[in-house]
Amino acid sequence: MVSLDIYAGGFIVNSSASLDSISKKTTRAIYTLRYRRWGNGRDIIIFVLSDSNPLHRAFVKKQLHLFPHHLRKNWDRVLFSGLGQIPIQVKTEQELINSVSSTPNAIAYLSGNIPQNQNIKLLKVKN
Amino acid sequence: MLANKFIFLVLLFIGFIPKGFTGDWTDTFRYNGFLTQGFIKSSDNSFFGDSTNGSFEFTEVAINASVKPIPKLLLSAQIMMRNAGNMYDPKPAIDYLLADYNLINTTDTDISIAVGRIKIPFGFFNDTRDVAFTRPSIFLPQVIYYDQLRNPFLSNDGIMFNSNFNNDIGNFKLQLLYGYTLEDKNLEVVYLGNDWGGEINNGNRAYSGRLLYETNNQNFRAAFSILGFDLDFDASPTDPIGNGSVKVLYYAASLEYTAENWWLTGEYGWEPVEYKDFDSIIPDSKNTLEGYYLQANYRLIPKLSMHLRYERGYLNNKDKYGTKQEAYTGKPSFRAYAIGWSTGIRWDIDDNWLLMMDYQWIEGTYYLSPADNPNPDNFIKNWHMLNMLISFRF
Repeated sequence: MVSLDIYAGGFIVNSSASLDSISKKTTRAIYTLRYRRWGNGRDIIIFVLSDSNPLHRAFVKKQLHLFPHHLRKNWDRVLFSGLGQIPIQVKTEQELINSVSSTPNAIAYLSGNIPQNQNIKLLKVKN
Repeated sequence: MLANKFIFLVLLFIGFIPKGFTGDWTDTFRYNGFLTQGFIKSSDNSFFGDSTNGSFEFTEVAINASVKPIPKLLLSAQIMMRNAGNMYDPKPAIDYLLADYNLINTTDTDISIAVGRIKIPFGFFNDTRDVAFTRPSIFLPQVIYYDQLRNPFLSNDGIMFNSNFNNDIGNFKLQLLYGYTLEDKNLEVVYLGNDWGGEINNGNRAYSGRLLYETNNQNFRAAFSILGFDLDFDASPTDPIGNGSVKVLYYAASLEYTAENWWLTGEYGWEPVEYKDFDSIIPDSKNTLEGYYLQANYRLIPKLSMHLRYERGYLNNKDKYGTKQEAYTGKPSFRAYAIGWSTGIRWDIDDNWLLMMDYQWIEGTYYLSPADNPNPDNFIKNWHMLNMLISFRF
């Protein structure tokens, strides 16, 4: 059993993204690859952890109200039909932070503590 | 030929992108791929090679790449090499090669137009049918997704309208594709019963479309798909049949319900095939292939799941058990249908490796390929097979 508490609702974006909050609906549209560009017209770059990572699983269930295998099926259908690009997978939460910090227009989930980093913005999640 | 034209057009397009216009667009380059090797051991009949003696003639290797020169434009391609017994030769082919331009993208609406070689949207699985990770079992249910004749169902060279609308009720995805069918050496044998002296013309017009609905939590999905193409046959002077045409239509209805640890999938397909102008040996006629399956999957632990499937398919839905066929032509009735059970286990070892093992019991042989079974007198009515597959993705 995966504890959902591991994901406390943390969302970070690269400070280049011109937004301060995000709705649940929008996060689902982003992670199911339906919404792909920020308001500034640039591509949303998504960083994720492995499907089996407890934080990833908790995020998908709690924030997106999907099952992790749903999300993977969404991505595989897009990737292998050639109709889109899928999120970039990294190995650790620290890598998520580093990647978002160094990649304009990037987004990622986070377990809790937001590091002091001027390239990263914490997003408020609205319902 | 058409593929070459598309490669040329895509390269031409890239050539016209102004330098510096997009800044760091080279960072958008991505590549992925997979290698799949299967093993088939059947009690009787040949499926993907000489399976009665154990066949390794089931291999799928692909590499794909994509790049976004500007955020609204995606260029992508996949090269695939597939070995499928005597049905298809293992030579590299372009699986898809396309440019997709996005017209509208909001959280509710997504509309784009793609041109190039495009995977045909049909049923739940057709557009990713060669990717083992996306299949619900080692082989897709043959009563819906034929392997003996695949190219007309695989991709088209053409143009696709892609749209997605989201609201509180759920997600509606509509895809419409118009283009030309790919060459297929098995067309004549499958639709005209023989490899005649004449030829089925290449580049036959085809159209397809799929409307898919899913709830916002994706627990329930439903789709309706249509696929149609016309085949024109030019007879040679020695052929006993004349210049004729085959008009193929294929419809499928698909339903899926997913809970956390189990899911149910069902698909129903029917395919009216109309023959015209071939003269007496193939009289003007229309017959409808029909098939369906129902599959249950259960996840034991996150990495391990199993399936149980029941499937039925008929060559002619007005002669489901082939009794008329047997009375008129002497062909054994079991060659007109297939009724089967399948069960199997799937182990997603990690993000990259997949292992599957399936067992199938089948009565009837209608979906078996003449290429793998050149002597139809050797067909056995009741047969079973053990399949194994290992796949690696990157």
